[in-house]
Amino acid sequence: MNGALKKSDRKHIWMFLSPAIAILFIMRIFPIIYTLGISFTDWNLVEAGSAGRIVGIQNYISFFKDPSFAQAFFTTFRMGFYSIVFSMLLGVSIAFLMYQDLRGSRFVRGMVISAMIIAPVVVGTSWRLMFNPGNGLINVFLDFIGIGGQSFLAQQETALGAVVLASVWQDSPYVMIIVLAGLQGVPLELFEAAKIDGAGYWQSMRRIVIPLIKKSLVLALIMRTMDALKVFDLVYAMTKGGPGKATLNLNILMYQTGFEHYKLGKSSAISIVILIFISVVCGIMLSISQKKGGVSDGL
Amino acid sequence: MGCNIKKYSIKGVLYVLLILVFLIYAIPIAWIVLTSFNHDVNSMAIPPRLFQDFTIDNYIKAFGGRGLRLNFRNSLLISSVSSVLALVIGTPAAYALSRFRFKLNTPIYMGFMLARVAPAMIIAIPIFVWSRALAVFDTVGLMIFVNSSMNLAWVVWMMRVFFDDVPLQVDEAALIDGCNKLSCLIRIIIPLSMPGLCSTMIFCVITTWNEYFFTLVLTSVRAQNLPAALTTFTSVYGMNWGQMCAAATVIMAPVLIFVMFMQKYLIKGFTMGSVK
Repeated sequence: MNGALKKSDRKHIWMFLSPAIAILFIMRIFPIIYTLGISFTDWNLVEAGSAGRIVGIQNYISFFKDPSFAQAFFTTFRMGFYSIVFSMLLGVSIAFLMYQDLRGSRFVRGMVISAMIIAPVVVGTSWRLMFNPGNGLINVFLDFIGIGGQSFLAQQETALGAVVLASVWQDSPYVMIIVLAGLQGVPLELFEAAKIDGAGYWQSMRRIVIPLIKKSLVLALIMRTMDALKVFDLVYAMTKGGPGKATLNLNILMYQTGFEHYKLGKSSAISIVILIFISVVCGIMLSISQKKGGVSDGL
Repeated sequence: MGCNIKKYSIKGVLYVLLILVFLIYAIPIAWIVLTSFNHDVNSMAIPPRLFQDFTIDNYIKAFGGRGLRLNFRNSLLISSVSSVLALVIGTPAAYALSRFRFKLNTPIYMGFMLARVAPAMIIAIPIFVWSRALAVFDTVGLMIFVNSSMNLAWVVWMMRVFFDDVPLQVDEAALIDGCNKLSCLIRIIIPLSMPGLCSTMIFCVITTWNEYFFTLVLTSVRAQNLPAALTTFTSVYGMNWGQMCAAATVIMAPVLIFVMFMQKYLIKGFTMGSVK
C-alpha cells in the first residue's frame, strides 16, 4: 500500500493500534519513568511520609560504598558469563549432533526442547532434588564413583556452580534450536561440492558451515545474554540467593530490597542499574555484530 | 573395508552421544515424576528406592487438603484469559504495523521491541504500588491484566512477522470485493495466518503458565498460581518433597504434552526471524 494514506486508512490504523499502545504506555512506559522517579527518593513503605522524600542520586552513590551491591553485581556477571559460555557450547554441540539425522534424534530433540519450556521454578526444584545431600542423584553418582557427595547448594563455594549447571541445562536447548535452524538452512549441495573439491569434514565445517550459521550464533548469543542477566526465577527457586550471598545476583537483591525490606527507592535504583547494565552489554554485542554483518532481524 | 569400520565407529560414537543427551535431559524430569509417585520414606532413602510401591497419596494430599486446587484454577484462568486478551489486542496492532506505512510505524514497532526485552524488575515497583493504591493487589483480575500486557509485545512482534508473509494482493483482492479493513482482517487475513496465531497462542499460554516473578510480587494468597505455590512448600511445611514434586509434575504435564504434539509450532515460534 504505497503512496499517501487515505483518510479511512488513518482511522483504521489508530483503531487497530490504540488499545495496544495504551497498554504499552500504562504498563511499560509510565512504570519505567515512575521507577526512575522513585529511584531518586528514599521511599520506604514501613516509614510513613517517606514517599516524596527526594535524596537525589544518593541511592546510586551508596552503591559505590556498599560492598553487598558490588558483590551482587559481580555475582550477576559471573553467573551470566558461565551460563552463557557453557550453554552456547552445549547448545551448539547438541545442534551439530541433531544435524547428523540419526535415528531417534527427533524424539531426543523433543525431550531437549521440553527442558526449555518447563517453568524455571520447576527446573530449580528438580535440580535441588538432584543436588540433595545423600540421596540426590548427583551425590549418589559421586558416591558410586568414590569421590563422595557434598551438599552443593549449602556451600558458598559450590552453590554458584550448581545454579549455573541448572541454568545451562535449561537454556542450552534455545541455542540448539536457533543453531539447528541455521544449519538446516545450509544447502547440502555445498557439502557435496566441497567433498568433490577434496575438503575434509573439519575443513568444510570451518570454511562453509560456520560462516553460514554465524548469524544464528550471534542471535543465540545476544538472546542468551539478555536472558542470563535477567535470571531470577531459577536462582530464587534453588537458593533464594544463598547460602550467605553466594548466588545473590542483582535481580534477587532488587527483589529483597524492595519487597522484603520495602526500601522502594533503593530497589528502584537497583532495577535502573540492571536495565543500564543489560542495555550496555547487549548494545556492545549488537554493534560488534553489526560491524561484521547485520543480525538485527529477529531481535 | 577399513573405511567402513571407521564410518561405523563414528556412527556408534554419535549414537552414544545421542543417548547421553537424552539421559541428561530425561533424568531430571523423570526424577521429579518418580518422586511424586513415591512416599517420601522411599524417595528420600539413601540410596533412593523409586520403583518399589507407587502411590498417588502426594497428589491427594497436595491438591485435596492443601488447597492447591485454588492455585490450579488460578493458573488455568490467568493463562487462558490473558493469552486471549493479548491476542485480541495485539493482532490488530500487528496487522496495522505490517500493512500501513506511516510516520510512526517504526518508532511504535521499536517501542514494542524494547518492551519485549526490558527486564520485569524495572516495572515491578510501580505496578506493586499502584495495585495497592487501586485495591487490586492479590486479585486474579490484576494477574490477568499484568500477564496479558507482558505477552502483548510478543504477540505484536510474532503476528507482524506472520502477517508480513501474507501477500499484499490478498488484501487488495478482498478490498476490491467490498470488504473494509476490519472485515478483511477478520475474514481473510486471520484465517490465512491461523498457524501463526496458534504458535503465538501457545507461547503466551506457556509463558503465563510458568510465570513466577510478578506472582511473587503482586499476590499473597488468593491469586497465587501453581509455580508460586510450589515454592511455598519449603518455607511453610519443611521439605515435603513428595507433594512438591506432585505439584511440579502438574505444572510440567501440560507443557510436555504441548511439546509432544506441537513441536513444529514451537520450533517455528522460537526460530522466527533468525532464519529469514
